[in-house]
Amino acid sequence: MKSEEQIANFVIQELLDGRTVESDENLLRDGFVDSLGMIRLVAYIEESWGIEVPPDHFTIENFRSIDTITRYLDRALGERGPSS
Amino acid sequence: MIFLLPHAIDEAAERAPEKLAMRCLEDTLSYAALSERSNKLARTLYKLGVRRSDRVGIFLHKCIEIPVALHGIMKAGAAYVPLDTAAPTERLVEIIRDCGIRHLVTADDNCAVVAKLSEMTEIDSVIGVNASTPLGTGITIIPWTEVDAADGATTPRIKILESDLAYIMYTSGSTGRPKGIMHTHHSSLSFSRWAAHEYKLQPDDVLSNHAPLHFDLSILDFFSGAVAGCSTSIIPEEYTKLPASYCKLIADHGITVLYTVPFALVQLLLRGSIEKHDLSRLRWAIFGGEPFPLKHLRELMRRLPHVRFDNIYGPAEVNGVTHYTVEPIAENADAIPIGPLARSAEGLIADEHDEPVAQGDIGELLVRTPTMMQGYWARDDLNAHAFYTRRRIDGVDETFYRTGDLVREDGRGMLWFLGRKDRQVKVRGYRVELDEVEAAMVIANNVEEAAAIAIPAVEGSQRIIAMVTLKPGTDESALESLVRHARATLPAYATPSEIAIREAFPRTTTGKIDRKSLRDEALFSAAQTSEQRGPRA
Repeated sequence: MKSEEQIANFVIQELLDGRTVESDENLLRDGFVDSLGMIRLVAYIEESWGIEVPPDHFTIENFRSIDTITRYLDRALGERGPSS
Repeated sequence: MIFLLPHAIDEAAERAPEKLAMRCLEDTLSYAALSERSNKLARTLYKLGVRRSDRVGIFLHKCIEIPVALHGIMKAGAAYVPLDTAAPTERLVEIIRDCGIRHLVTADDNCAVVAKLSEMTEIDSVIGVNASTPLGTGITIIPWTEVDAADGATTPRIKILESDLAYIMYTSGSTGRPKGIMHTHHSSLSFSRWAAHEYKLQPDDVLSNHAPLHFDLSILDFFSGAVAGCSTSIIPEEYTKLPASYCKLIADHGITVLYTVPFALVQLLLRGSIEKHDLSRLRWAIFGGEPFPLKHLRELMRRLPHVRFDNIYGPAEVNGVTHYTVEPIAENADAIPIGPLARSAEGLIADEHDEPVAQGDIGELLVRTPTMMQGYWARDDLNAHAFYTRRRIDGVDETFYRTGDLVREDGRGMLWFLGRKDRQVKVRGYRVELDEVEAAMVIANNVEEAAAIAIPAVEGSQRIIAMVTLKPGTDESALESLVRHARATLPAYATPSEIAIREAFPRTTTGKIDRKSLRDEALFSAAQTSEQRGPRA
């Protein structure tokens, strides 16, 4: 599964109880993902891709939408280099 | 003389018209602009038929129009009613009907919900949206451009007294029906002045508004700042969810006085990258709403040694009545006091017969204070129990509010909070009645019985677990529909973090659901889960 799809699945199933969301939609607006949900999302990303999201990367710019999260993840994986 | 909340901004506008009053990211308002725009809104509302003591709803995400709406509504002589933008539509409808809101100040990004609300209620005018918004026939739409072009920039001459209603704030009710806390200009201004004095607010201070408008923490943010003539930075919702962005904004905006819930400060500590931001201007971190987990408070005080930490205590019904500036916390301490009563407040620690308990004993805190609400909107049933009146001198009654909070006084005048008389809990500072959660679960079609409990959450605050038994013949796949039902019925903060279907409930000897043993079970299983996972780095 592509990372974007996997993130979207987690957000929709676990954080939005099945409600759909566009990949460029703002997840942070009222009634969508709350602060605890964002913490769960980070934990999920860290666990699934074996990376660590430092606190200063946990920002609006990186976590606003499924698109920005995917781009952030791709960058983080790129910096880590190809997995052995 | 200042005797109404909007007088505070009008006086500041006379003293220092160009002084920054409010900002929301890049949008700003000077005191002169805030005063003028709110005058124009008041004139617009008057033209629409709003009269003294009417209720006008505010349904806005965080934006620069919020202070315009607050003051404009009050200048029209009406009371503002904040509506939670994250609340289920049914709950909003209930509130709008309960206090008879016919006018709504909102914005384009809420149009879809506003359209539904206008269909289901008596709302007949909507201010702040584009004129072409489809809102059904008979509804007057006034965009901001029209408000700002209204004739006359001065305060409309409308008779308003300090004992008139300023706002109604809705909160959880134990039966599932929200109750409206009514505050007057007098009660709210008394609190705003108290805070401005206590924290020595000066015009060069920068306050922040983190709490949503329907949460009473917002009163200090919007009105104490105005009383002192300082600036307030409105923090959009998304910043409050991402601590590093929040921390950067505190630094960039030079915030000097922060007022929020312990949960937000714990998030700043754990995920805010505090050391990477310049927080040297911050001088007060004030918190309220619920107890601060001491482990985190101690650490935050160590990391921000130049900041003074202060806890304001008081249910929304009385604003704040005690405060405590936190002293260094001993390693073995398990609680901090909520502080002494404000000089202008009188307390009574009473037993179940309203008799004072012996010094040092536990009792319910009853308070008498100028910051006290007028009562709950149209709820004589609740008002009959909410207050205690005693007659000490012939012909003079003294009225106290029953907080429902259990406290002890330690002999030095310090009060210690020890819990609740009822089943109210706090989730990230919000009041949640567990009875309301149960009432909400039981109305789901397939539910036979429900029990709700709260257990401590990993990062401070509490989380709610709902357990239900199903009616015979219902299959177990009901869980998904129950989750949807809970989300559609309860406000986000009161929605259970977990719903469990059970075969049966444990019972007490009298046949009631044994909630204590359910809670013990949940605590045990939470402890096991965290053991399996191990500590997170």
